[in-house]
Amino acid sequence: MSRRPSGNFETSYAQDIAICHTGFQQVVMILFLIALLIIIPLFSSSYILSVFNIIGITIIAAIGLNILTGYAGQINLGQAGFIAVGAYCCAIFTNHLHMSFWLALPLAAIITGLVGTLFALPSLRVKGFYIAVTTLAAHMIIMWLITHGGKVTGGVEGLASTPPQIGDFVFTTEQHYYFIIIGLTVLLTYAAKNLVRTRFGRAIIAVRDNDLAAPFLGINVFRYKVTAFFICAFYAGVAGALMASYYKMITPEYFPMLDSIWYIGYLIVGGAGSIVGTIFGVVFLKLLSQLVMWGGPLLGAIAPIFSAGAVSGLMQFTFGIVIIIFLIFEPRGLWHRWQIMLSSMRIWPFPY
Amino acid sequence: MRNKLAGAFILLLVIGLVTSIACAPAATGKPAAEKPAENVVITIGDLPNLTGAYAATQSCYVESNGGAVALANEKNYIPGVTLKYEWVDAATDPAKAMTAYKKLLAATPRPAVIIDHSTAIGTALKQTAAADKIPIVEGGVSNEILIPPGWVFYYGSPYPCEAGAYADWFKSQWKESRAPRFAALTWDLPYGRAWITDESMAYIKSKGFEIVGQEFIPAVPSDTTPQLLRLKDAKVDVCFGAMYPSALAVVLKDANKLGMIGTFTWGGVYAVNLIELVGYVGPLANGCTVTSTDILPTMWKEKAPLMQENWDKNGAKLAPATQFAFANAAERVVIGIGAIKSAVEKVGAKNVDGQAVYNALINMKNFDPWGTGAPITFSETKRYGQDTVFITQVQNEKAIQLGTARVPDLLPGGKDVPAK
Repeated sequence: MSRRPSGNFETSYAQDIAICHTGFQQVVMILFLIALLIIIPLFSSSYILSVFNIIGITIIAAIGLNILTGYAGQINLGQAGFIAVGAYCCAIFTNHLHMSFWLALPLAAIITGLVGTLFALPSLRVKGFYIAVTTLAAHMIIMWLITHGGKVTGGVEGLASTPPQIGDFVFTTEQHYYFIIIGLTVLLTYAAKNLVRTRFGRAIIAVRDNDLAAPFLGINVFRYKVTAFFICAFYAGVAGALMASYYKMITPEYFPMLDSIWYIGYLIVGGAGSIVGTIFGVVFLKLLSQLVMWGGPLLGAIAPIFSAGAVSGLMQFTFGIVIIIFLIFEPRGLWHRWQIMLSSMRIWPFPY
Repeated sequence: MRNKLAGAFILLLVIGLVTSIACAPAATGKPAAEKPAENVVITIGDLPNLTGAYAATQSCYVESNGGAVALANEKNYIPGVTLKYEWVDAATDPAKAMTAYKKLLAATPRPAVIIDHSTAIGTALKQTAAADKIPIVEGGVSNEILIPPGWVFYYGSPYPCEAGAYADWFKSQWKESRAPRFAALTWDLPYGRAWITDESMAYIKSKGFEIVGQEFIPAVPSDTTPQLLRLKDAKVDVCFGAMYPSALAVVLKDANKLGMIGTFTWGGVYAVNLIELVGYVGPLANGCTVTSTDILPTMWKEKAPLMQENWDKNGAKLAPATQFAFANAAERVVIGIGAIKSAVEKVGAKNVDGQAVYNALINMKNFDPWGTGAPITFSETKRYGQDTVFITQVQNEKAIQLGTARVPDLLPGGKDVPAK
């Protein structure tokens, strides 16, 4: 739907495929990036930066999942397992092999991508619900291998990861990690946004919409599905490597199966099939979890008649209620609602 | 119209969320007693697991720990200081616990010590706590937490050592001439597996046990029959493990269905609340034994009056079965309070920070945790507090304390580790 005022014409293909079409949009984007990359890290507290860091890592993994599930239509319930592969690869490379983080991260991402490709092979024969179960099995297999990895993975006791370093400068504070994580988030978001507008993006959308008709358009369905799995797992690997470095220590309990379900939840809330929607979904639910974390002690102080355990349990209801509200009132997610609001604002005060 | 209403609703929700985060005041637990304005305020942070797999046992932790802090203020335990208690739910999830930990660090004033109650979370926080210079008094333990010594201080005895103490006690009770058949029956979690080390298994074997298997059950089990059937085939005499009563109850009920009750004894580490277990399974709990770090609640009136007072004031809305866990958690906070008191005496209240409390902890010798447990001693190289445990057993659906036991040193390189 059009959000541009009438009278704006594109005169070249480059203008037509640009992300920011008007001067106003370009200015807003530049201001946003200045705020994100300069103002926030300079003036925010460690706690606020830690929230941004967690959101950044989650956005990377969620965008990867969106490419596979939102664009290619392949339900993936093993995203937490792929993140674990990236995290443990990074920890093993930096801890056991004393590799630099800057080398360990891309290597971990590539290896995770290849692991994702392995679990994509069944997609040649199965689809829909069955590929979802395959990815569920992927999570279980990965976690079993990690838990029984002996001294290589540290087993249930986990593995430490060395922090990134440039010369003598070691990245240790929230602010240091902010630049790495948010920088990578911006880069990978830009890459994903462009990827889905290429031939590859159109092909996987065609596979999602009708994988029986897609081959008749000359699309090698299997090849595109496997590539989508690779990209999804690659993004998960980056997120995992960042997680291992940021937390300094990882154990198998960082990657429960429930997290894979929550990643699907980010897509539902934000809007599957939209890169920006993914960001909306992650930010919304992560802020909600912060609200729940703040709300528990506050509610306990306001209503001491309830035990803290009861209050904390009540707060967890919030997540379920929010998901249900979105499924009923806005199944297409926050991104769709945002589109409608922008269109309404464009023609306000007229209703149409 | 409907679209606009739904859109407005979602927009309001989003604005409300962002505003709430921005405006949320620093949340506190139990309010401290009224103190003169000139008192220095020192914060104790707490990471109870009020949701997730540990919730059933740890649901009372805020009441117990907040109550202990409030009681310390009321009794003017540290003159010139008001202790402030801040808690955040760690949700039995290391990732959420890290966020909760960072939220605690943002409290004003910054916590001088943080109390934690999970092996996995303690392991996850070890490096971060050292970097942030915040000591953690921990309720969970593993070799990873203790070695090398860091900023995490475990209040009890290491689980491998508790397993050794249990083996010593069981062997002293064993009447048959053959070697008793021993198996692990434990949670498949860092907390559950922490006691299974080369050293502890070598020690148990050296005491004349025949090791017949290792069985692991999930954090929230629904059916443990496969594990129990394998143990039944092995004709196990004694099992040892680490899990919470909610999971052990499932095991005992399944064992009852298989006719195994009475054919083997289950022993566990301190965190198994026997009173809670009896509440779940009644007579099936008879014979279950734990190497406890605390005296029984029935002994509080005589030996731990402050803990009794804490329970009387703050336990009203809690189930009676939570008394055991209540004391466990409060003991850790009491250690933190004791360390703060030492730090105040050494550097003055205004200068107490994480480093000062850390220094106090590594110099803690024979500290009495309000009479609830064995004396606590840490050192530069020792990060666990207790060297004796109480052998506590369920008899006729009541938890009875049979006596104390020495805890062998079964950490890597420990003096009681059998020679290879």
